[in-house]
Amino acid sequence: MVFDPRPRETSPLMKKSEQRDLFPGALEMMILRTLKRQPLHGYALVQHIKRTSNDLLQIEEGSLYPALQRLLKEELVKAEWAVSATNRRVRIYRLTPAGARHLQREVSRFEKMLEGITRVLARGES
Amino acid sequence: MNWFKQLFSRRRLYNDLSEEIQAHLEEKIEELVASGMPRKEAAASARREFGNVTLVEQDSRTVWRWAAIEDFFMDVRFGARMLRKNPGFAAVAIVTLALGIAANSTIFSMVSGWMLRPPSIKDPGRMVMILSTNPAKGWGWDRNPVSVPDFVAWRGQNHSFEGMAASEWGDFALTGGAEPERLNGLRVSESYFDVLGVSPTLGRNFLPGEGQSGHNQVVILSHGLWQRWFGSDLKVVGQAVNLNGERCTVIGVMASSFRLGLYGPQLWTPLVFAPESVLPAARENRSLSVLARMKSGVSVAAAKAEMASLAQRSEQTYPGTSKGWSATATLLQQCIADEVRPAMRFLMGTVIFVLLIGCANIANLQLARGTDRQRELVVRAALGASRFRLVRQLLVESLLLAFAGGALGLLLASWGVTMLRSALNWNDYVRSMSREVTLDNTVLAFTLGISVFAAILFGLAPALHQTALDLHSTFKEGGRASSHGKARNRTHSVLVAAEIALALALLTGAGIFVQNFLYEVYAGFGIDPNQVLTANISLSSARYKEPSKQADFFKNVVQHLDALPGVISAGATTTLVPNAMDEERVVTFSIASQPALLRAKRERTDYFAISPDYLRTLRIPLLRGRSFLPTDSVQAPPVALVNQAFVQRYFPNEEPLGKRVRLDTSASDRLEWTEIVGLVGNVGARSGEQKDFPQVYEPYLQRPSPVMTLAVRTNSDPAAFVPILRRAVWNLDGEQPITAVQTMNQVVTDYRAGGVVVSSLMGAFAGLGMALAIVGVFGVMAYTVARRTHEIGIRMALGAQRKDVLRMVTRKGIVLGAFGVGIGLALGAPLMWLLLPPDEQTAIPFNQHIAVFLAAAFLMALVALLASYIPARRATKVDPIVALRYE
Repeated sequence: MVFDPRPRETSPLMKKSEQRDLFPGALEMMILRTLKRQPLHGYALVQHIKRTSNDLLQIEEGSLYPALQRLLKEELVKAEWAVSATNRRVRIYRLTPAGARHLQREVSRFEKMLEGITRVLARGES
Repeated sequence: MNWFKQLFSRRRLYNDLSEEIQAHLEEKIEELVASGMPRKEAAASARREFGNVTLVEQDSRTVWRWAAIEDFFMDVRFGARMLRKNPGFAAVAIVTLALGIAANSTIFSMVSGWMLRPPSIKDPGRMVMILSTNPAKGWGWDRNPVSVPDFVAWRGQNHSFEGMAASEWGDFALTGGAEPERLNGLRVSESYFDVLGVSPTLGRNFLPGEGQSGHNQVVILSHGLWQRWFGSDLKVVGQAVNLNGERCTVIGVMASSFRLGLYGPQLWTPLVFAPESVLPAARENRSLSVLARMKSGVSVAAAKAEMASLAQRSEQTYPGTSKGWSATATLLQQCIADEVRPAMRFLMGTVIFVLLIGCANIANLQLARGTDRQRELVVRAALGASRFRLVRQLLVESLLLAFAGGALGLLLASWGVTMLRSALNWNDYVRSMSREVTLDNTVLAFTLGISVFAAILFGLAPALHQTALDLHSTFKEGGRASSHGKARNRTHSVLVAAEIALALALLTGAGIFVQNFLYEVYAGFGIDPNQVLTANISLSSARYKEPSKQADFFKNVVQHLDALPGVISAGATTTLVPNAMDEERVVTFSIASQPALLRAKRERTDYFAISPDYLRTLRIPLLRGRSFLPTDSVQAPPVALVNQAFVQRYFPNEEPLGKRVRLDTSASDRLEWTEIVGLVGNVGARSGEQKDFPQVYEPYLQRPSPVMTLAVRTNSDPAAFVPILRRAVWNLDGEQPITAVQTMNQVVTDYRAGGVVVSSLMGAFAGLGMALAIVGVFGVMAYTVARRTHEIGIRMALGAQRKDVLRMVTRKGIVLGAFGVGIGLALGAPLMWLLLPPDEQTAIPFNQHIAVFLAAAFLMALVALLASYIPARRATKVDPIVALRYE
């Protein structure tokens, strides 16, 4: 067996926002957008994202949680334990004003990026 | 920052997270069950869709971690555990470091106290000293006081300074107590304390007008004098004291914390400029220490430039007194620091060498230990630890060692500082300096810094070395890796050679210093110091203003002493033994047969005014001609004696007797010439280029002085003669203070005390450095030999002779020794020589130091040889069977 003498270590910073099939920050943006409509707990949140995206986005349900922790840490969302409609103890996440601002910024940045990509793609076709 | 809060609320965060994830899974399962899936299948499916629960949880937690810090603490815990498992190694490393760090911190406490502590005045960064400069004068120490006319002119003309103040040391006789006391005081211009920005704790500063003659009978006391003389009386302001026979009113007491230079006065009085002192001709008389506060926004460079141009104006207007003289401004703190800089640089260089040797030792130990740890490191690397992570782990261990060493070192240093302070005790000046030597915050910070520096020094190379892992071959060899043996041996060799080079440099530096010192001791002072008692008399009282009164007083005292039973002879002199500090005893002079020069261009000589029997009392040999006689008085033609050095320099092949000279002992040139009537031996405690400095003596009856030192040669123990001497003086004047009553041997000892202290320090450091180097070289050699036991066994089993093995093993030691000595001679020793203070460098010609270089080189070569020979001999005694079994 041959080991690479210098084992790789992906920086934890990279790992955080790395999301296969999604660009960095996309998941956070979707979470914030969903929470803007209404406060939700984790399970409901992931079901909502899956449903609205028509299951086009293959995300692991678990990947939601590190993203939520990041948003919590940056105080873009806050969480409270509550009892859901189905009578379970759940942790409801809700958007903070800072989170709302952040979402707005991110969305406009995303739209610009998308516009740029679309143009390039359109030019390429013609 | 909310990370701090997070640090404590984290457990709750983690619990919330686990609970939440669990709830998520349950909800999912229930939903699936509700849709008709069997529970078991639903659980599996839920988990599948969720992903790796543990990983998700861990990733989520990572978000909250303050990764760098926490890993660091983990490293610390682990490191501490590793060191506990290896107490022998840890102890040796910590003690070695503690010794090196203690030496550094002790010496640095002097640097901190003398060079880094700013004077306790307002905004010290804007306070400069104004200095007269003349490159042609002095010996590389081009800092001279300022004359009164220059001070007055520059104070009025400058645009760079808010204020300029002058001061001048003076002797004060304080009477009215049990015994008259002599005090060192500072006469200061009226605005002195205002320029400094300080005020007395009691009373007030000097007022304008108090610098005028007749209004100057006011005095500000130092805190110490106030405590001692007035018993800390809070109502002291307004009381009267008797200073120099005049009644002066106490107007203030300075705070005990007030500190300007390394030596503070005991009192301050106003400086009065006598009418003759402001005449242009008085520019020759440079006696004022001048301080100035720069206006805000003015740089030191600008201040310097302005002083240079002001001085140029003086030079052009008064070439007779100022030709060649310029002026400069230097930050006050820098001026203070510069006085001790050469000595401090030398000592710091020395102790850093000691620490470097210690670090090399520990690095070697670490390398050797690395073999045992290789397996651990390989496993960690295989499990995914990056090299950075491993290096960090090892460095953290080194840091732990260094901090432990630093803490122990501080403990030792506090003891070292106590020792140092009690050693710095041979005169008031040094005692005052020693009070500044403390383990202050700067020293603590320095200790911390140097500990980290040491950790990197001894930890980095081994850490890089040990983590350059080849996992493949290491695993194959079952952890008994020797694939890096070669590289490791090379590192060992480099370290050993470096240790030898450093120790050699240390030995050379210490050797040269001690050699200079012994040279001075053996050269003597040109006098016989045994059975001589000396005492200083400063006639500062107004009663002795007339020079003739001064001469009468000393004539009477000497006659009185001479007549006492037990006295062989008694004399008086203005200067006892000239040393480099006694600059005011150097005067310029002219020789009658040579072309006349401006004063600024004239040659300089030591100057003494003595009583006729002074030479006999100190047994300074009269080589030719005659000594002074009681008849050499003001009425008689002026006469002088010169020393051998004077003749060698100015009358190399001529008869000096009968030649005429003129000495510039006052502001204006003398009218008459003085005839040389005798030739005497050289005296003095000077060294280096100044060793044979020209000296001229004149009879004190012709050249009276208010300050003289009495010397009495007795036929028994001179110390027992102290009360008799005091009574003899006080019979003539009961208000006259007598100071520095010492035997001549004590005077000589005090002159040498500095040399003794530095020589002892150097000896101790060089000894410590060499001991560490010996331990280091021996340790590496023994270790190398031990690792080769197996090989040696094979060689001997195959028929190698003992002497072959001996030669093979010893050769390495010799090669390393030769390398080390070579590098030491080529780089280390010259470096140490350059670090020597300039006067030590020039004390003895360089070629006489060669012996020291060679002796040190020989010693270190011997050390290397023995350090390899002893383990080698032990190796050859090993039974080949045992050696072959040796793992």
